[in-house]
Amino acid sequence: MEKKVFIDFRNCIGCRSCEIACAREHHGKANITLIETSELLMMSFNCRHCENAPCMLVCPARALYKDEDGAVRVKYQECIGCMFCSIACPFGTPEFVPELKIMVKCDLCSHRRDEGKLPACVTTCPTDALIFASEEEILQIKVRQNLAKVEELAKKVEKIMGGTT
Amino acid sequence: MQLITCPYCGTGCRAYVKKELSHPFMIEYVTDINVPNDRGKLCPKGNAMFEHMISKERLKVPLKAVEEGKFVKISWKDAISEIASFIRSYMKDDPNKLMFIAGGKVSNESAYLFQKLARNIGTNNVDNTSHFCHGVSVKAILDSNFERNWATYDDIEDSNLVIIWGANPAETFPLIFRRVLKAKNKGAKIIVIDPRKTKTTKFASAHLRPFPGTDIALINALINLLMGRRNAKSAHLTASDLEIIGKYTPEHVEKITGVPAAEIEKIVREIVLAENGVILWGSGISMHSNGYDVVRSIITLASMMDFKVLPLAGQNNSQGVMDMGVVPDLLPGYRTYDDIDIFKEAWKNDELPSEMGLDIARSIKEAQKCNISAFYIMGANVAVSFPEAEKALRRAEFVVAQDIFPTPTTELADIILPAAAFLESDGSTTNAERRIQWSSRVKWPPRDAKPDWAILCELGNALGLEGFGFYFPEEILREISTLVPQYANAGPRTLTRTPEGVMWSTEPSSQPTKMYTSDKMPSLDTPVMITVRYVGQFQTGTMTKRSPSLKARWQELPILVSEEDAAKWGIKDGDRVKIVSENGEYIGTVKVSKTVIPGTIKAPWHEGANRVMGLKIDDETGLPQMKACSCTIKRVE
Repeated sequence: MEKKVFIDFRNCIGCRSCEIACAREHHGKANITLIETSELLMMSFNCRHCENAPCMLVCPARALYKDEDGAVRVKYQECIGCMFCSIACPFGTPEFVPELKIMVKCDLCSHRRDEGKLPACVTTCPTDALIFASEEEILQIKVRQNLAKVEELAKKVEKIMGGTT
Repeated sequence: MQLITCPYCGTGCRAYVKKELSHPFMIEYVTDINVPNDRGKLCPKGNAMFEHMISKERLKVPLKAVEEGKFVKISWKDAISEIASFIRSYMKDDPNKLMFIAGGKVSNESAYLFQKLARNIGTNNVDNTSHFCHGVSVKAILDSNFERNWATYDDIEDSNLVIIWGANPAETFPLIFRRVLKAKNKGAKIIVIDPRKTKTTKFASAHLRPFPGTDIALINALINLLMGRRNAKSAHLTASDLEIIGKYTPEHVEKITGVPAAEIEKIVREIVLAENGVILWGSGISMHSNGYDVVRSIITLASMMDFKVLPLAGQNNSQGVMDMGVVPDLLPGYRTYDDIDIFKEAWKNDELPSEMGLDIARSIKEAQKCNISAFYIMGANVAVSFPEAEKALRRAEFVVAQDIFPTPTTELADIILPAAAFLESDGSTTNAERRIQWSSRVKWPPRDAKPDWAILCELGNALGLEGFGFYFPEEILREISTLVPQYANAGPRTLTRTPEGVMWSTEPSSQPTKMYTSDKMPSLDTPVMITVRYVGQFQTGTMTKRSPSLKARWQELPILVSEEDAAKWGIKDGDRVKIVSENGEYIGTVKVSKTVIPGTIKAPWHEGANRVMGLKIDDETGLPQMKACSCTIKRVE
């Protein structure tokens, strides 16, 4: 199963560290955006690297492909800049760069992955709100969190009912 | 790869710099050694720490003012000899007409040489811009013998109660806040005491919202309630202390602060239940005119429960400039003027002054009365950060500004000296947990710019002073390690080879903690303006506004007002408003917010909202009121 960047938005403090780190790694253009939905509620958002990616399906130049780690990437020399991918994308992530005349999107920091490192946004996130994991791992984390809650509840009930532990 | 320290806040984060042809300054996160920033993580400012250095606006050559705001290039030789001749004219008769101000962002070596220069010239009028925030806290901790409970960042993780008082670490110190969150994940309770609702309060289990400036009443109430508990140590409180404390019952305090009495009692229960507590505080309390008293009272509270304390340092070397004695009343290593003989011997100068000098606030006041003739400002933008400073600099006969960028302060200078940025020279800094760290030079300064310490050496030699013949910062650090007891283990040989950094080396005194209570409280009429910082901007924005990625994301920071006040004053989202006080005005865009309590206005201080404050020095405490001020708000078209 491929790993992707997930966000635990309960932990997000909206510091935009991910944006700045992404911009630094990608020549000044950030492919992850922080959205402040209301006061004190925010989450970062990047390409979901969809399993059945609509951007790949609609690309007339076949410039979008999935690499070995499952990241949806753009072949820059083949992109014609038609912006179909950003129309097809439900999140509108691929962005047109007028200077280069091509579409640019998150590549899960391919240059960092080559060196065996995590994407820059995940490495820099001060509160661990961004998690680089596969879906199974995310599920496991969720299950563990829920188990901890249930355990706490069970302990409380035992205290009230006078249990043995 | 070189290991460097982030030049922004006082957390002291570390990063590697990798040089590649296409990317000369690539940041790599430090994951292999124990650094202040857990797992090498960085906040946005840290991620953009090189952007300002390669800006085209850098000061590159020495400049001389021909008239106000107009400068011509001069050579280093001319600039230094001009400054030296001016200083020499005052050196013999009246050195106390000179004032030396250092920023909190210079390296320990530069800070040490700065005060050495001032004191060898014959004046103790030397101060740093962190004096009224972090400096107040440091002095309070040392005065009350509480150094043994000065927390490190690891202590925050191990505690089970974290009290954050007058600070918003999620915004201003994200990497310290990471430690708080780690403690929370281990089951710690987090109590935040702050009038605003912030990103920090989102994670708090309890949030008290006292009205700005009334913290002292809340602390006294907590001490009062704690005295009734069995496990609190209150034996050291004297009768007069008890008299003060006794007045502050929860019900009485509810009237003063607006915090419900039941909430105060709830907090006390949490405090009593906690075994390892840690209290963090920021400039939200220490920059009030009663800052020293509030901090001492917090320490009293902490000592009753044996909690640890950690003052959050605002600038990357706030702690270091205090250690280096860049303050009018203390010599390096927090020595008083009774120990001046040590320095007379070490600096081979028998004429060192031993009377207390002027601090920044007083020097600004004196300059307006024409009692200060010259300012030497190193790496500080006082014209924006200090109220009335602009007037003072205009009044002064001669102003030397040493900085990396043109700022409103350098505009008022007679001579501008181009300095190297922090990462353009080797040097050490000390962070909020008192860890001394060596940072390597990653690039040469642009054109003729020189490191701060090198400029000071040249000036010292031009003045004919002894002990300024340094060629490397390591030599200065050697001298520091012999004279400052806290830095005894931080000699250049050790420090440059210890990537983890070295902690302060003095044994904390074994004397009992000195208890202290007070009921001094600044009186503020509503509406009160409080100034706050944002994560992507730093201080007056000298550096962050020249970093393209930070500038683009943190522009036009809003003035926040509460919904009730907005309805009362008839203003709505997006209106341009003017905040007026008796000392000035500040114009900005309004945002109506649920996060501020009625009667307060939250203004960003990166644009100079501090200048509205007015420099009121409290007669009793001797500190200026710099956090909040009474004001009026008006809509402008």
